[in-house]
Amino acid sequence: MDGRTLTPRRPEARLALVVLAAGVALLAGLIWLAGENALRALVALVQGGFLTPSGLADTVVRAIPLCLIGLGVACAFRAGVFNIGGDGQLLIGACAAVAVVPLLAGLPAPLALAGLMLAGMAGGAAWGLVAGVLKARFGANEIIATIMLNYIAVQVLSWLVRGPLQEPAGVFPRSARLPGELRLPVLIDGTRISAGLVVALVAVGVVWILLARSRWGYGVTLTGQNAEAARYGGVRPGWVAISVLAAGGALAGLAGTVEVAGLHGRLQEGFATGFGITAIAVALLARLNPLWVPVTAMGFAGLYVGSGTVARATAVPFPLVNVIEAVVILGFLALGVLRRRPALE
Amino acid sequence: MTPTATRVEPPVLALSGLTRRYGDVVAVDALSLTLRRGEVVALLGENGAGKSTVVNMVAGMTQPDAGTITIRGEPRRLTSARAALGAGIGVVHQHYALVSSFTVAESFALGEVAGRLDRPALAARVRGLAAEAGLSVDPGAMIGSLDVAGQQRVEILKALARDIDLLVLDEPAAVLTPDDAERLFAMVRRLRDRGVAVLLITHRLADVFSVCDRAAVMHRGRLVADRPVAGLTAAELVSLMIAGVPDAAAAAALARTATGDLSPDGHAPAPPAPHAPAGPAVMRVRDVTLRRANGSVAVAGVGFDLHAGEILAVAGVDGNGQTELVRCMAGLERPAAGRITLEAATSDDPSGWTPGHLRALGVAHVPDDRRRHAIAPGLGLLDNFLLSHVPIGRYLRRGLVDRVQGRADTEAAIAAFGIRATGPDQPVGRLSGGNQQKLVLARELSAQPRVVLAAHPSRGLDIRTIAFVQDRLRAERDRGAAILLVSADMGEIEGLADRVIVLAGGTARGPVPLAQTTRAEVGAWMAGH
Repeated sequence: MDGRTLTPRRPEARLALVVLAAGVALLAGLIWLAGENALRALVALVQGGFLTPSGLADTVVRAIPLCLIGLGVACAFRAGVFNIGGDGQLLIGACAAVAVVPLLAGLPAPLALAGLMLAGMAGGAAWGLVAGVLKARFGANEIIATIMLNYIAVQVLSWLVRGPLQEPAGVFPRSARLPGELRLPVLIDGTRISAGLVVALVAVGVVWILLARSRWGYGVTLTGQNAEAARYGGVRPGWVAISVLAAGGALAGLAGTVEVAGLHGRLQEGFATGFGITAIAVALLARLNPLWVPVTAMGFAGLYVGSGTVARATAVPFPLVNVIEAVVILGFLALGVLRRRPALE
Repeated sequence: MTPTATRVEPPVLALSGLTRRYGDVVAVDALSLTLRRGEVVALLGENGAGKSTVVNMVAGMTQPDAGTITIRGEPRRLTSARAALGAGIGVVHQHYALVSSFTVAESFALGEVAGRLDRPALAARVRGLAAEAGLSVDPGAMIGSLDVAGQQRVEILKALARDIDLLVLDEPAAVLTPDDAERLFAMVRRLRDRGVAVLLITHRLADVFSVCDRAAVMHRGRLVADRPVAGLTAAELVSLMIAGVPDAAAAAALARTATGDLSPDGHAPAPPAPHAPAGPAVMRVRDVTLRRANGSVAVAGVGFDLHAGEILAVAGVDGNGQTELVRCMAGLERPAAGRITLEAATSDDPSGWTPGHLRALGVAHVPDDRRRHAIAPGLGLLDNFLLSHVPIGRYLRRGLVDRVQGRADTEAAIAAFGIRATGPDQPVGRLSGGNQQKLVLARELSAQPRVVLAAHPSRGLDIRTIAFVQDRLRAERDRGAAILLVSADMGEIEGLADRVIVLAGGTARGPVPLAQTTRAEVGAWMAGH
């Protein structure tokens, strides 16, 4: 009750720090149990992820798709819609982008790149839309629908790179290289950081304005706070569910396009796995605030990169990085339930 | 209890110097109050006077900053609701803590039963308690399908199920029908005779005079009177609540416009001021059948026109279709049969009869259960003020929400309705129930509505605010709005309405002009005769 004089956001920030601290503490404990020096491992983790030039560059590269998908997750969670389908939406978006490459031949480079990204967003949005329509029209649970669509997306990719989109040589299950004018340029020489960074930062601004200042964003937030009151006020709940899943899909599809055009240069099986779940932790730790999403995305990307260093330098296995993600997700779910107790006086 | 028994029993509850601050606001200021066995004490006060804070401290949900709580002579620290219950204090709050997907019987098992659930025994126990208390409760009903009054009965029974010495009832009668209120008070008298002390938090003076032994009045956090009811007049109480002093003359004028509940001796309130005759029909209701949430037919064959410039009261005991009628007229539901029309929109149209479309046509709606349906507790006053505007495209500038204008209008509403809040960004969940309600009213009346659907607009408000709200409704009517007023309070209906329609026993009577009927006739209709 001492929160009465505070703004609503500050206790939330405190929660985020508590959850993060719990994650680090648990990680340290597990490293200790594994027979290593926890402090040494954590120092190596931070150094590997953030404090060496090459580590930091790798962190930024990984943060770009996390940030984009995390923004979409934040939109959906704000409306109380649980979009677990980031991975599938990313894959379908990347497939759609690669599929339109022949249509973009001959266009001026900026236009062609814009077309590529629009196609990626449309593909991801369509995949999100499937879950949205299933939920709005038939009352299907979006958690289950999006997870199932992830599996289907993996199969779609697998078929495409062996069939319609396979490279002309027809040897490996992968697509042809994107033509040079459809590659996102490298921003910083000597690193793999592409112009996808700019795309992600622009997306942060756009999503922030939409959520904080648009009629759509107001309806999204209101639905998450009290769905019945939102309907009473004139918000159409089905439309909100469909639009946040489509928006999340578009952002994930954009992430997939940026991965292909900025990093890998082509479509191949298993080219971007595990972003979807990490992006949930990214969005939750950012307290669903789009302005914090790039920060938390950097944090989780750095953890990932740093864990690689730790695994090489010590006996601590790589998957330990998942512990922090799991603690963040579970911590916020638990706190969310606790906080749902009715407000007093 | 012979006169020779000199052993002085310690009071059931003694509050001494109780103080609670929220930031700079002193919600409760050095309050001392004593309840003895078998005493029924009313705790009165305006919205924000500190009554709910007292309840929360007694219920163990808030800790006092200073002062002591003594129970049966023993100083106690009540650190949780469970601790309060363990000390023999049962509390029925204004807002119920019930699980809507449970049955009534299951809610009794919550927190009590460990191990296997013996459903037949549980149901029998609920029936037994209900019979003892004289309240009608079906153990198999789903909580979510009960109306506000039904849920309250469950909460009261849950409190009684524990062996308690003190029952705290926070605004219990505000949501009850006159019959149910009378049954509740009969139950309170039975409890008193058994030696249970009852603390009744209320706004309604009628409650004080019908059941209470003593009245304690709070004003801005302080206790300004603690006197036997026998020596008090309604005017004195009103004055104490509003001004903190028993100056009857000052409050008399205000009281007269406020509510019919005010005069325990049965004086009718002042007749409504004459005004221009009603305009054309705005909303038409034709042969409508309404079903309750549980599927049963609440009322059939309802038909009326709602005219511009009139207040049409829907009278009747709660649960006879009033809630469903308003929800259908607001576009939240569709009637089971018949049709409702507003301009080109009709309730048979699958896509046109939605809250958003009707709001865009000028329908404002003050719902029955405001906390559940009309506010987002986690958002600030500003965002809650925008709740019925932004979704239909108001307060937009160049495609973005005009928060500057919204903030100015919210601040104006806070001032005009006297909402006690720290500012437009304070989360609405932290306001008292009355202040939440004022915000809903301010918002719904803010955009010059053509139709106002107002369900119990003065329920739970203090007298000053009731008078203000009623004046605002009259002003909207005189401006030309068509107003549907759902009320169970005959005093309010007589003071406000032009015509009245009664829903009772599955049928509708009327509408008839109020001038052509009598309180006795309407009362008979409400009773189903």
